[in-house]
Order: sequence, then structure tokens, then C-alpha cells
Amino acid sequence: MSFLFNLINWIAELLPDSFISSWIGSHLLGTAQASVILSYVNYFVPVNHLAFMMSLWLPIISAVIVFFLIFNSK
Amino acid sequence: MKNLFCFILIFFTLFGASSLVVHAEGSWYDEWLDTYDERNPDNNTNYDNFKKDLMYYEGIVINSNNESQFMTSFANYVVTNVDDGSFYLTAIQSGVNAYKNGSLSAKGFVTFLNDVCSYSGINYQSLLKETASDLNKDKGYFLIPTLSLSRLNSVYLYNDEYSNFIRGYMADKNLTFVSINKSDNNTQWVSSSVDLSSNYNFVLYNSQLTLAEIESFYRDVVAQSNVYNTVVVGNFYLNNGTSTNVRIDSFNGSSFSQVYFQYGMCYPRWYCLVNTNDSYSFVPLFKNVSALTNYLAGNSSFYSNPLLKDLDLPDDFDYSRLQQIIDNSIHNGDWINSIDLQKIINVCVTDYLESININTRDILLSIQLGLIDNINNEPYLKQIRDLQIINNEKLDILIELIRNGGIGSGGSGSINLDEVSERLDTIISILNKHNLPYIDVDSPDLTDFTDLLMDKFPFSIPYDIYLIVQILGVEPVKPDMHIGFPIMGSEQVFLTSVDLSWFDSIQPLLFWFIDLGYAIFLLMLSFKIIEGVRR
Repeated sequence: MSFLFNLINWIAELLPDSFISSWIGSHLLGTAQASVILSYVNYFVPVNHLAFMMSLWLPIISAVIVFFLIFNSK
Repeated sequence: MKNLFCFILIFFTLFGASSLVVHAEGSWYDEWLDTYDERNPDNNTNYDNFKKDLMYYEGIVINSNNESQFMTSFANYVVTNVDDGSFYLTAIQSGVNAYKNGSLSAKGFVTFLNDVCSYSGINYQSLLKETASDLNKDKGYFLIPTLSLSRLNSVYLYNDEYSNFIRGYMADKNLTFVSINKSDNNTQWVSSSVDLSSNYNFVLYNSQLTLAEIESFYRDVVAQSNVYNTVVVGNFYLNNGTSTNVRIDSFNGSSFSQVYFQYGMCYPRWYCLVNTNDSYSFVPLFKNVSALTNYLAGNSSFYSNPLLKDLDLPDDFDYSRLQQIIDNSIHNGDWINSIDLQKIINVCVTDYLESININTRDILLSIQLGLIDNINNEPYLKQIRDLQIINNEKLDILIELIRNGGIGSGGSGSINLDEVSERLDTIISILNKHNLPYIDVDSPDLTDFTDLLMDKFPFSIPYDIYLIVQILGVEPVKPDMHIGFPIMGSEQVFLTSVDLSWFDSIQPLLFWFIDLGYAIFLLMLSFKIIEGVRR
């Protein structure tokens, strides 16, 4: 266990930090603009609903595409 | 289907009218760019350089939602004074600096006044009267009245009425209003003319402070006021756009712990320090620094953290190492995202314990001491949990044993180490008897792995996606739109506001339709895609 931990730790030191989350933190969540504008948008359009539906739909359609690519190829 | 499209089309056409306001404000940006060109003919390609030189920050943090809404508006304006004695109000929220020949755009000022008035109930006209004489009709700009404190070479904000309102507001909420002034060589904090009985009330501006100056300022302020119930309004300016990190320090009597808030853009960095008794809600800008908020809630300095004290660390414990790690984190910009103070302490303490070969028994001893002292003190136990030196389950077992077994009977002063050690032996023997490992310093907690993966690219991608999607789930807020039209040939401004209360009634139905429409859209898209793939 300890060996595994040390190994992962060693690998983690080689990897770069997540620049995406830091970018989100500093540029989107960190600014008043993004949250304020989004909260306004959310008032008129249920963006969170739509995103949720999209998140349901994406894996399904991906699976369908993969299915047809595999089993329907000429 | 057609009807649905018609409905959506009509709906958005209706809302096109109200969205005009946003577009109108968007034009400030072009205006500002033009201004930039005028002011910097030699170097007009990189307006960031200009922008960063003029960036100030002014932030206020308070408790409840309504207040924060107002104060957010307040904090969204930046006051900048210039050499000729006039000064600008700069709207931050729109991401635009409305500079034009040393004056503020009428639009921006009207919006600002509306924000103030709608909250404070101050009559708009009475405020406007103050400014009307300075209305520059030709250009359509206002000049803000300046009540200059000449000896300080700084400018009083807005006017008396507004300043008094702010003071009254702060007094009402039992908040202390502190701001910073810099005179020629030293930083001062000066009492304002309105003396509130139990509060310090300072209003001064135009700070261009170095780190040392800020430190000395806070030393002064904190020495004379309780840190709690204090709102510090910082107005900081980074000279020459250097990327030096200026820090605001909270003072615990002998040393500073550093509090650091970074605003996202490259150069301007925004800071805010707040301590009140009740809660620590920050303006939205700082909502994502909950770790720091918790930290502030806990103590004014982690050097005085009871956790460290009660661990009974020897005198040669290297506290500077803690500071060093935090400094590094700050410079790496990690602070906001992932560095948790408890984690830092955990790492430091663990490192230290390893380095001096302290044995598990001694750790348990110190924890046991704490337990006996604070057996009924839940916050303390929480801190021990957070330290994660022993697992939660084991801690629970330990506490249970102490409670049931009569090992810790309380009374901090009366227990000597031998006695505790004896009781500890009893605990250990009980733990051994039940075949429970009683300490776990060396074997890491599994949660460390998830933390590790969340922070490191590319393993962080799922978590990053989660973060991105999370942004969409912001609480909906009804826009509060105000429009002001300067009437030509007159000093009056025609004010109107868009009332959206009617939208509340149709919102659920509309959302239902939008959801339905979107579902149908996805369905049609699916058919199309499937057809395409099958072909």
C-alpha cells in the first residue's frame, strides 16, 4: 500500500497541475462577470436543465454511433 | 413543431428589447478602447499595459444576501483619481473602463446612482443635484464632485450624503469601515469626521501601497480594534503593473498570517480581508475560496491554532516551514484551487514527526491529552478529524473508549503526564485486545489518491468537466435593469426600469416548453445522426 502510494506520488510529481481547473477558478468562478451573467441567463433559460439533458444524451448517442460503426459497416 | 418555434421566436423577440440594455453597456468597451488610443498614441496595441496601471480594487464584504447584492454593486465600481483633480468611476462588472477626458460616462454614472439609490432609498434627484453643475453637456459626461482632502492628496468619495449613508450602513450592521490612506512616506489610518461610539470608522483613499506599508497599516488597525466585527476595505494599487504579490495580513498579536485572494486577470490582483463574528460571506468574486473562508472563521492566525498548540509539539518545531510552504503555494497560484490549510498543516506536522522519529505513542499521547481536555468540545474534535493523523473511525472508537471506559475524566489542569500515559496504556491494551490498529501515520489515507488525481493533468479532466458543468448551475437571479436617458438641453435624466415580475408567472411553463423543445431537438438530431451513420 505504502509502495503504491509512493509510486503514485512520484508519478504525480512528474505530471503538470491541472491548468483547466485553475483557469476555471481564476477566470470563471473567480470573476463576478461569469457567475452574474450566468445567473441572469439561468433566469430566462434553464441552462442547467439543458446541460443535464445533454449529459444524458451524449453517452447514448455516442454508444449508438459506435454500435452502428461496428455492426453496420459495409 | 411550427408553433413551438413560433413561440420561441416570439419570446426571444420580446426579450430582444430588454437585452438592448446589455448591448448598450457593451458599447462602453469600444468607447474605452478609443479612449485608450487617445491617451496612449505611442503604445496602443497592448491596452493591458494601460489597464493594469489604472486598476484599483475596492471591495466590501458583508453578511446577508440583500446587503451583498448592494455591496457587490458598490464593489463593482472603481474610483480612480487623476492628476487634474477629477476622478473616474469605473464599472468593473461590465469589464469596461469608461474613461473619457477625465470624466465618467453619463450612462455609467446613472447606472451607478441607480444601484446606490435603489438600495439606500436616497433620493436620486438630490444626489444628482450635486453633480448637475458638473454635467458636461457637450460630451454627455458627468464629473463627480470632488471634496478633496488636500493634505492627503486624495479624494473623498462621491458626496457627503452618500458617504454618510455608507457610514450609517456600516454602523447599523455593527461593522467597522476601515480604509487605507497613504501620505507621502508613511501609511496612515485616520478617523473620519463621523465618530461612531464603539467602532472605528475610517474613510480614506488613494493608496499606492507596498507590502510593508500594508503590513504596518494592519498592525496599527488590528492593534487598536478587535479583528472581529471589522470590515477592511482595501484600495490597492500595484505600481507599474509589476506582478509582485501584495498580501494582506491578519494580525494575531505577534505575527501575521497571510491571506491572499487573487483575481483572475493577468495583472490586477484583488484583495479583501474580512472578519466578522457571524458569517463570512464574500462578494461573489471570492466565493470559490471557501477554504480560506473557513480558515478565517477559525482563527486570525494559524500560528495560534489550538490544533498545533494541543499537539504539544516541542519548542524546536519549525514554524517557518509552514509559512514557507504557504508562500510557495501562493506564488504557484495554487491557493484558491486546491490548497487547503488543514492539508498543509497535516503535511508539515507529518513531515516533522517523521523527521524527528517521534513515535506513534507520543502522538497518541498528545491527542489523548487534547481529548481529555476537550472531551465535550466538538469543534476541537473536528479539528483533530481534519488533521487526519488518525482515521475518523478510529478516532470515534477512541472517543467512545474514553467516554465509556472512564479513562478521561476531564479536568485539564489536574492530570499529569504519568497519569495520562498510564491511561493511554490502558487504551492501547484495549485496542490491541480488539485487534484494532490504533495509529496510522505511515499508511496513507485513500482519499489522498483522489486528491492527487483531481489536481494532476490529465487525470483531472473528469473533475474539470464536473467543475465546468457546475458553473452552469448558478442560482437564477432576476436581472434588475435600469435605463437612464439624458434629456438633451436639460440637466435632468429620464429614468426608467424594466420590470420583469410578470416573467415569474410564466417561467415554469416556459421552462417546460424549452425542455420539451430541447428534448425534441435532441431526438431529431439523434435520428439524423443515426441515419448518417447507417448510410
